[in-house]
Amino acid sequence: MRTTASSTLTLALLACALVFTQCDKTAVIDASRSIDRPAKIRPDYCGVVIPPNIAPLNFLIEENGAGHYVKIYSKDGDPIEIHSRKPDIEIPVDRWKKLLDANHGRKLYFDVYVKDSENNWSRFETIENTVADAGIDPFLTYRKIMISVIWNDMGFYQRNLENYEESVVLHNRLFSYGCMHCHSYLNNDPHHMALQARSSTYGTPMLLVENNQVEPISTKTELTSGKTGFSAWHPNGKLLAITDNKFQMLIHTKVQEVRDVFDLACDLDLYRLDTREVIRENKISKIDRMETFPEWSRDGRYLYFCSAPQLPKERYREVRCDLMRIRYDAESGEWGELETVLSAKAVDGSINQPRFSPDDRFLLFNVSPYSDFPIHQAQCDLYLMDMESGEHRKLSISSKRPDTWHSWSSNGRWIAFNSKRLDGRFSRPFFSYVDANGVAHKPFLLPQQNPAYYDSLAWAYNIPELIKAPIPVTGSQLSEAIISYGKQTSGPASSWKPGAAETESNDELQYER
Amino acid sequence: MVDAPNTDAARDGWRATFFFHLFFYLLFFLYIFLYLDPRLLHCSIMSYWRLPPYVPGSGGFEQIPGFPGKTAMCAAGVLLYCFHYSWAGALIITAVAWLLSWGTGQCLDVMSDGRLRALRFIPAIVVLLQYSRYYHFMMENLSIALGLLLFYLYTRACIRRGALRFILFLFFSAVIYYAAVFAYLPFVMLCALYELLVKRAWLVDLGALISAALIPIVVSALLFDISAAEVYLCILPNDPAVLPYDPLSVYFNGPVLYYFLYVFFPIAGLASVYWRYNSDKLQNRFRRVDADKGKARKKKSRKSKDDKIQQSKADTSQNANPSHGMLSAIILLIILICVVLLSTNHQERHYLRIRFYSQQRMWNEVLYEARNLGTKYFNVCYCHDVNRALYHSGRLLDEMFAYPQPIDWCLYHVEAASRSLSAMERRARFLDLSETYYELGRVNEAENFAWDALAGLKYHPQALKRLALINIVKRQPETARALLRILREDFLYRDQAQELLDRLEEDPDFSSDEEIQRIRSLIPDDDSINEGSLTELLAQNKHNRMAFEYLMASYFQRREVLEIVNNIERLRDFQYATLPRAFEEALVIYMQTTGQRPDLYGYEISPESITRLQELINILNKHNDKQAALTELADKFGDTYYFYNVYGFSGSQLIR
Repeated sequence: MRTTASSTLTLALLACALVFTQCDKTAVIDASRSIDRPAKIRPDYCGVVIPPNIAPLNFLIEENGAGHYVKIYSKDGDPIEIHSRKPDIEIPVDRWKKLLDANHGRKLYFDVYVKDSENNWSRFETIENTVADAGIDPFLTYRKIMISVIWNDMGFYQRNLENYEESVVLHNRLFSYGCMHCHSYLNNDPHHMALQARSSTYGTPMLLVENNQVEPISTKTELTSGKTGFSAWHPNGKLLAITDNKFQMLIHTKVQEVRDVFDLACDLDLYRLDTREVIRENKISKIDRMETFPEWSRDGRYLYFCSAPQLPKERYREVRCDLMRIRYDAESGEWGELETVLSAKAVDGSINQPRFSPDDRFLLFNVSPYSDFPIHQAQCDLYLMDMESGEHRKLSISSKRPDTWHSWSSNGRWIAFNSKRLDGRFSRPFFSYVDANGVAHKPFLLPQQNPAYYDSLAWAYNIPELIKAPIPVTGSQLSEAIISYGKQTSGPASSWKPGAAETESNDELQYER
Repeated sequence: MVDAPNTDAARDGWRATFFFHLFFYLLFFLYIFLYLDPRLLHCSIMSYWRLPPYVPGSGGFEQIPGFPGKTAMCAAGVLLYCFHYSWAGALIITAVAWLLSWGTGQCLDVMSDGRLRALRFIPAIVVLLQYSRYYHFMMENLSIALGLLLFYLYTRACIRRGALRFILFLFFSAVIYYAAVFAYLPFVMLCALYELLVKRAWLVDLGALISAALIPIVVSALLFDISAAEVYLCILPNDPAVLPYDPLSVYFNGPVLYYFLYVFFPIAGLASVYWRYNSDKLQNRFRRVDADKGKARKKKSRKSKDDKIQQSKADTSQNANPSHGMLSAIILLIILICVVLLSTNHQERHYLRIRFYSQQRMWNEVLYEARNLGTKYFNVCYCHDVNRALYHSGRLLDEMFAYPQPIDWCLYHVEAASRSLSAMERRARFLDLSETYYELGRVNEAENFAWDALAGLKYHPQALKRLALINIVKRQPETARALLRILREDFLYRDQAQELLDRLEEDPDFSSDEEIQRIRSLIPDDDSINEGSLTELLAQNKHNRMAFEYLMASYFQRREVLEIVNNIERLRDFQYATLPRAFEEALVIYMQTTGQRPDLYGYEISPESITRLQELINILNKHNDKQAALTELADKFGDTYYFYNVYGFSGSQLIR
């Protein structure tokens, strides 16, 4: 009897609590003052197009208030309602996924209410976003680095974009705090990956990942230094275009961007995966020119790259790269003639980092006032060239700060890129939807579980690349490959010996990319 | 601290022991707090170098991938953060020393049946030795303390069945390997000795030894992504950062202290058991215990052997001669005092205090410590600190030759001059370089060095603050805001960061801040990728006093007297009331050697300066040999430009 009474009392209390909660919600909707502007939220998730498989866009409401209420809804599916005293709005992952799954291609609305200290609610203008009809590749890989050339703590990470899971692929702690950089994939497939490593202890291997195995490769020949910079996979998966760079860091005394990088020499080579040979072709490794940032057309017939006259360091401000291409027959190994696709003069700047959309329709690149190392430029804009019409234009999503290191998703509907637009210094990964006409929509910041995550992060993101699956090898496999390379190459039988500079500090060799 | 006994006599003994321990650790604490000053370690690069610093906000320890012993390492990093307050640091060090000592006592109780308890103070004394030499082996100490704690729990678990004890061993070993890998082998060896020689359970012992080889593989496979080699290498104490450290010390050097605790416990355990077996008295006791064991089996008594050990310990305590206790206490105190007297690295203390005071901008204290450092311990970095202190206290051109000023130690560009330093030492200097460049008006170089400081030390709040200020000077408020938001996460710098953020909100340009405006006025007008010179900075702003004094000081260093003469007029730009001493002496030399009197622009040379040069010449003539006159001249003129001009070095009046 007593138990029954107790249960009844509990149920009654619960019911009261429920009614009270509902009353509160009703009060929000019925008795709120309308404000004719959207609420200030951070990160800026207003008017953006988002992938249906993206993790919840948690955000901070930057309006003074004692209480916060957000309703997220669309045409179909259950709306998500969040009450919070704090301005941090954390959206439940499961309900978010259901809502997005039910509304591909539709608008997604955020109603934001803020309660003042006198319990009066204000309702801000509804924030409208759009759920795209095409998903994004579920993983993003990037480096997180301190803004320095001292690599005390550098990691190569992968992030599951469908939730907030981030894992370390390789941390430089595993190979004597060397440097790893410039990862590239064959058609967004991590089962075919190239990653460069530089270590004063273990040398400068290029790590090749194929069939879930890692192999350290030496690209050093009589003509090449073995310090590979950037790489691009030929669509046939048997060939890599690689660069051989000799960078020097410059320090500006006045301008906003303190650091600058000058390429004392840069040439392109091919690396054949079947024969493990480096192929040098004079047409793409001219002494009087620097050639960098290779990119294969998706049909594999052309090698695109950026090229500028090789100038003395004092004329660093005159380094302006043209976009070039050369025909190459991967079967016969025959080269065509060099062609200028787009001159630096035509864009009044230096063209860098060309990247083809998967359907070969668009070529995305960036343009900075000068340099073949755009991350250190005060400004660098994204451009898109329509390969059918040959027309190019600056993308409206470009900011006043450098937007660099862009990559396409495997379905060609999304681009990921680095941007310093938030604060001018720390590069962060952004995503933008690119429709069939090549129109890029307002970009959004990589969402984090803690919406204030970036506020206290002293690391910069670097080279965000979208991939279709997680990287199939572990950090220990990668580091063991680096270490084994060091053991092989330091032995007397090896034809490769670390150069004199490599015995010096890492600091002098590697630069932020 | 010690187990409370039951009888009155034992209670009195226990009280005496308690108060002795209290006295011992109070002295320990006070010495560390008042003399060694753990704040010095907080600002020391060496400590940060070996530990991941506590990074507030995003990107802290979770950024670092898991590896065996990461927990202890991170805990040590967090504890080091507390060293910001000297009392907190001293308290932590004392607590760790006590924990090690207590664990050792428990370990010896079990292994030697209550004998050899005096050895329990050895780890505490070793900890004191470490810190008196300014080594911060906190990660190792914490690991060993955890190992001892788990060993204590293992031996006190009252588990009779060997199989269950073996399972407990597996669990504890896995915990140690995961959290405090440094203590893994000592823990395994202690357990193995305990099973073999105390419990005489050789099967458990064998199982423990075999499983000890397998546990690293299993734990690593389940929890870490590390290479096969690292699975076992991390067990060994192989921190390379320790080895090149402290070349000044011969006996109490880093490696010895680093490895001591590692090997102490297994050796102490072995020695305890050896002692136990070789003591007739103990042998009898063992026989009695064995007999009791037999009886116990028959009577199914639950009284454990450990209880008997406790009882025997209590008996020993009760029967002990009080004078023995007093004697032990006196001997211990003598050892403690000897340790303090023999091991304290005063030189390192001076170094660290110079660094600390320099960071705190306590210039008089920097100069005081420098005077006590001794010329032979000076290097380019401390020269940089001293010159900066001299400049900020308005004494650079008066007193610079009271300190060593070798010609190849460029006054401010330490980076180029410090190639002889280790990478660690150079990285420790990035923030100082940043500060100096900032003060000179070369804010871009200052920013570059501050980023390097932040990356080199993995986290450094002062570097963050410097970067924020630089970006305020450069009128980049959004970057400054981002940096201050990061700094705001730091408990120790929260208020400073918030204050700057508030000011940025009110006035993004900081137009009312005189210091910011002053620095802005010093920045070069034109961009260049070439290293700016002091001359260029002066051309940009003729009131850049620091650039002027450093330029003049560099002329003095290079003994370019003519350049000094050519710059007399500039003294008016800085409203010097009289000629600085070094200037005066340079001009006297100029007049003496050329016979010309330069235009002094209203300044006067004191007759004393002329007399002193004459006196110096007389002494030189008397000896008729520069080297023969060195000692006498060094005593009388060691802090003058005259002496430097003759011999090319200075600071000879400091302690050598």
